[in-house]
Amino acid sequence: MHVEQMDETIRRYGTPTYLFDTDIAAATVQAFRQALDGQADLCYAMKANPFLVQTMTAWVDRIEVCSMGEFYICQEAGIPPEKLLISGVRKDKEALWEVLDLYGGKCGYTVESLKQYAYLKEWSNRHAQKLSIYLRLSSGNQFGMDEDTVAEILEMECNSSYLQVMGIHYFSGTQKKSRKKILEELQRLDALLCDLEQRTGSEVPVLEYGPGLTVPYFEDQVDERWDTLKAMAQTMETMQWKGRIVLEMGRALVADAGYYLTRVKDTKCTDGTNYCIVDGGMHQMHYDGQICGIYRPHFRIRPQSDRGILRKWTVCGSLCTGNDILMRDVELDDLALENVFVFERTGAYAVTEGMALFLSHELPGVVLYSQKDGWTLMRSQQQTYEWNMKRR
Amino acid sequence: MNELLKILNDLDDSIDWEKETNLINDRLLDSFGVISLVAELGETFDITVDAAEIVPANFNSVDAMWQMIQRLQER
Repeated sequence: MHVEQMDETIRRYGTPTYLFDTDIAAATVQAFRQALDGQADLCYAMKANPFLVQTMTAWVDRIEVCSMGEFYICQEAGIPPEKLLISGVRKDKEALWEVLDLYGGKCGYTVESLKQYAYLKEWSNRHAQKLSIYLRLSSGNQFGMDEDTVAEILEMECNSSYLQVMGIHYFSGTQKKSRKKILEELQRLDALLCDLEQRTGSEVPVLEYGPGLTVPYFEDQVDERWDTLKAMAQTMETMQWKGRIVLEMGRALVADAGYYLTRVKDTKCTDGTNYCIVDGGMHQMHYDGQICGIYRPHFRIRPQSDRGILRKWTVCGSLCTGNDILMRDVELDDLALENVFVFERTGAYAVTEGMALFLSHELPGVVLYSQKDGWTLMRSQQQTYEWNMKRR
Repeated sequence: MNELLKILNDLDDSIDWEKETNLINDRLLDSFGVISLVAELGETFDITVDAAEIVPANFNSVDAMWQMIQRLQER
């Protein structure tokens, strides 16, 4: 994004504001498809950024929905049910049936427990409607079911009229430390899928797999996503199991598309340390793995001074906690009141991972930008104090 | 110092703690590790490690951690 657009965003919408560049999101998806060379389809995990779900729907093959709130967002955005995968570790019967009554077998549904399986089975029998289900395999935590349970369900449903097991769903964690772990997972899933098909005598058409690619948030981190995708494509090409792979990603697809704009509202020098206080803070922004500004994110300042008056600054947010440090010991040129920090790579999770209600501060505004459509206001700065008191 | 090394090895015994000088910068010790460590150090050495201390300079090496501990104990 060019500085002119950044400055115009600040002028039009003020701070604190999130700016999501939908051209960048679209370009990332295209680049991922190129790197994957047709070896897999793409699913966007909308939990990474719900504001981008409409943009992403045009570019990916499906959207992973993990709550009723996300479902309603998709409904409002007019996303066709054929593109929805209804997922999530908690699926209350009433909520699940609300989705089923509305969209029935047009969506895909994941199964993370025997109860979820029972709810889907009961509905499909009662309405005599076919449902496509994906059995989530556990990676050793609270998500999904173990291999034996998955195999049992597959066996039970192979002759079923109504529940069709379309595939296995697997995700073991985000920001994986090594590419090796992803490639090993693909190999283990390959063996598992062949084994399941053999044991049950029925095909497993799809593997919905979340690789958990690492986004390099901080200075001195290398971006390994492209090489990892290419290595994955090679591994997928040589798999014994011949079904369709859908890669489920959120962070890796949209992190680059986000900018968090926050303005300097106070500066001081205390015992020789320069502090500036911005109008945002850790209640509005978070980088995965960050704590007390120990790592240095990518950022810019608008306007950027070139006067060469360099000083070290500790950049703090608005919260009354010593933990609200966005950056430490950062050398800045002639930092002044009303300067705006532009924190980069905040397109994934950052906008929802902050402790938004703490101290009853406002929520930041959210704006989308594309070259073709210009700016679209998604949400202006919103007060939260009403949720921290007896409602009127 | 031995107590510190024991805590570190309990955290992750695959790291050569005494040799490393870039634990934070090289991401050998990540933020989860720092949080666990801060809790343990607080209990073991009866110190308070506040946010101002959570900087790479204090955690990049065992020596740096030990210096921080001693400094905080004097408070």
